[in-house]
Formats: sequence, structure tokens, C-alpha cells
Amino acid sequence: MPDRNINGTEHAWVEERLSAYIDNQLTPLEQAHLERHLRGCSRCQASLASLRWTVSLVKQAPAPALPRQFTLPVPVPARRAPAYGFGFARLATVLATLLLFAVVGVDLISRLGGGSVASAPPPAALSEVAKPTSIALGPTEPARPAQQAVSTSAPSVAPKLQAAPTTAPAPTLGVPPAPAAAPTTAPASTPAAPPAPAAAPPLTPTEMPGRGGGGPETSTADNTTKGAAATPTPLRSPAPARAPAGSATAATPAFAAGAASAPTATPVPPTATATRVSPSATASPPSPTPAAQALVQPTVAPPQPRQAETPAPVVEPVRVAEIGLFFLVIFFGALTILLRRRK
Amino acid sequence: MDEKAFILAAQKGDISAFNQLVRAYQTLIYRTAYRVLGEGAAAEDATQDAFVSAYRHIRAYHGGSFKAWLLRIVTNACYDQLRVKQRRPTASLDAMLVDPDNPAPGADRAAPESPQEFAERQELGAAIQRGLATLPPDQRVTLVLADIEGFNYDEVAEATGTNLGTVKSRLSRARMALRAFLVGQEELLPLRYRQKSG
Repeated sequence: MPDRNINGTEHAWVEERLSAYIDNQLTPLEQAHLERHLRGCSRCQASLASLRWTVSLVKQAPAPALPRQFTLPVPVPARRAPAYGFGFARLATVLATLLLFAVVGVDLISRLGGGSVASAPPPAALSEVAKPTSIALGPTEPARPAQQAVSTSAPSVAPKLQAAPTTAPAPTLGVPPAPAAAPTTAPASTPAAPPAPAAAPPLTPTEMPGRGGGGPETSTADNTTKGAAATPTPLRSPAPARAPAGSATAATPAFAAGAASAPTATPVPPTATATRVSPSATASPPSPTPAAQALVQPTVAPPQPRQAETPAPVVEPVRVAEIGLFFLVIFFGALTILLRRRK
Repeated sequence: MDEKAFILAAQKGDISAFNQLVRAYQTLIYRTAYRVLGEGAAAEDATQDAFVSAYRHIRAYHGGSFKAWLLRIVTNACYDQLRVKQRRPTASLDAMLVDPDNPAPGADRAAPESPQEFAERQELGAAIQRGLATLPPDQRVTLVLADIEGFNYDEVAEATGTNLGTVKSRLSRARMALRAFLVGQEELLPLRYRQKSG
């Protein structure tokens, strides 16, 4: 069948609009003109049929399966702000810890490194010697260096120190033996060297081991009874307990004196004891050693310690600070952990 | 589903509401991307990029067809993917993954499909995909939207950011080119999809 529209441009015009014709997207005029052409053109009819076939195939194409969900991830809620005060608690913990270390460090240095420092506290010890009633914890510590000093210095000094306490049971040589004896030495250079046997009593106090204990307070209370009881007690017991080998003689008296100072305090005026001690100290010329000097030197200013007569502070301020800081560290540490968990 | 309510909520930053929109349109968007790109992995990337971009710019949406707005975004994402693909050409061996529960929009699913029919349709799909790959991107997108997804010309024009005349001409050229390709491959098509003789 021959085409009515042989013009190639007519075919091209129709061909271009076949797609829109399929979708009814032509204007009425265009559609009428195209349909008129199609009726007489088998070529364009075939083209239209193949185009419809193509479109139908495309529409039958299988759809791909959805591989996964494309929903966007819901953001995780922002982290809660740190609990109020967390920073402060942490800082406080750090500061308290540092301060605790500093205080403890200073305390340790003053105790260990400062052997000479041990001679410093004598004033307090003096006061105790003068007034046996007051015995603080403090003196007990300085006593060690003193003991050592005595022991190392010369055995000669030790026995004489022992002699002193004879009448007045040990308190004189008490805790800070050296300084205690010193003040009295100067004035009381009297040859009151008491009988050797009498020296025993001061060493006797069986409570020796508890020299740091509350010897002093109890002593004033029952001085009469205890004083008497103390003296007879073992002279030997303390010695083996404390004194090792060579320095036994020296060390024991010191301890004994310190421990015994309490019980015998009231009955015997401190001065008396002092005088008796003094001779021993003075009478020991062979001990020019530094230790001995350390014992004697503090004598220069004896009266000052009297201030400490009041029922002395039983606990050193350093200790109070250490304990307080320790609890502060624990408190702030716990607070920090607690607040951190709340974050 | 109240699409406007979800859109408003999403514009206020409610990502859960936006995800409701994603669930409603993800199949269409992925299918379009897959048709245009012809590769599953690239289609996934384009789809994800499209939704992320849509969420970021949802405040720029001021009414109209939300579906067309989404299609325009995914179309641009597909163009980006095609540019990448041009720089690094790869031979896609992806098999056409067919979702039995989600047939092609134009397919008549009234009657259940036999395994043979299913296999034949897979062959047809592969042939069409190869034919689409021969088309320029703009024509490909237009044909996919109009013939596969069934959008009218106005919607296609809105989705591609063009006018009606451009859609007509692109679609016409795309159909002609695909017809030429399929006619050349007709012997490879299952019998029932071939043109009737005459």
C-alpha cells in the first residue's frame, strides 16, 4: 500500500510525535494530523506498533528488591552534662591529697632527718620535769634521740644518770632526760650524789614499756601509793626489755626515768630530783661528746618551759592536720566517685 | 499517613518523622536509582546520599509534590554516581534482583507468576537494563520515571527540573533508542515478549 505522504519530513514529524501520541500528550490539532498520516502510512504504523511494544516491555520490567532500609540513624542523645560540683570535688581531692603528702613529708623529715631537732623539744620536757604532773605525748618522742645520745656518748654518763633518780624516782630524767637534767645541773652542782643503790628505783617502773602512755596523769593522782609501789619493783626488768647489749645501761635509765617520772612526781619536788641528777651530769666530765653537750645545752633557758604546765595538748597539731587531711581526702574522693557515676 | 505532618516535623528536626517519609519512598527512590545506574551498590549509595541530602535540605522544601522533590534529589545523586562511574568504568555483573512482593509498577500482578514466567521476566529485565545503559543519562532518567515508574509528564518535568517540551523530546528519543536496541536483541528475548510477526 503506497504512502500518501511521501515527503520524508512528514515521516520525521510523525516519528517525533509517536511517543507523545502514545501518551495522549499531543494537541488535538497535532493528533488529528498524525492520525491522518498514520492511516495512509504503513511504515509509520509499524513504527508506532514497535514503539508501543517497547513501552509495554519496559513497563513489564521486574522491580529490583530493596536491599535494606535507608532510614537515617537516630542520633544518640547527647551525653549528660557532668554533675554539678564534680570538678570541684575532683580538684579538692587532688589538693587535699597533695597537702596530706606535704604535711606527712614534713613531719617525717622533722622526725627522722632532724636528729638535732630532737633536742629542740627539751623545753617542753623541762616543764614536765619541773612539774611531773604534766606529761605529754610529745616528750616521749624526743626521748629517743636523747637516749641514743646518752648511750652512744659514753657509758660513764649513763650510770650517773641512773644515780640521779635515786630519791626522786626517775621523773627527773624523764622523757627528755638530757635537757631535764641540765637545767638543774648548773645551780645544783652539789655533790649530792646519792647512793648508788638508790638509783634503782627510778628504773623500776614496770610500766616502762608504756612510757608513752598515761603514766603522768595517773601518777599525780596516786602518787603516794604508786610511788611507793614503783620503786621496789624490778630494777632488772626494764633493762633486758629495752637495752640491747652494750648500751643497755645507758638506755635503760632513760626509759626508766621517763616511765617512772609520773608515779613519783608529787612526793618529791622536782628541784630535789634535779639537784641529784645534776651531780651525775656534772660529775661526768669524761662525756664531752656531742650527745652530752646536747643534754647540757638546753639548760641555758630552763624557765621557759614552764608555760607548758597546763595539761599539755596531748596531740600534736601536725597529727591533727594529718588526720584531718586524711579524712578530707577520703571524703572528697568518695564525693568525686559519686558525682562521676552520676555523669 | 499524614505526609505534611511528617514533613513539618522533619523540618523542625524530628528525624523520626523524616524516617517515616523515608519508609514511604525508599522503594521508589532505590528502584529509580537502580534503573538509572544499573548497579545495586551504586544505587544504594545514591539512595542513601539522596535521603541524607533531603534531610539536610528539607527546610528548603516549600510545598509541591514531595515525591517529585525527592526524585529530583535522587536524580542528581544518580548523575553524581554516573560521573564517578565514567571516571572508573566497571562492568556490572549484577543480576537483576526482583522483589516478588514489589513488582514493576506497570505489571499486571493479578495472576500468580509461574517460575518460568518469573525467569523470563528476569531475562526481559536484564535486556531492558542493558538497553537503558546505552541511553544518555538525561534520557534514561526521563524514560525510567515516565515508563517504568509511571509518572506523568508534569511530574517528570518537576523531578528532572525541566519543562514539558524537554520531557517529551527526551522521552521520545529515549524510546526510539531503546526500541532500536530491543529490536536488535529481540531474538534473545523470551518468546512471549517478542513482537508479533507482521
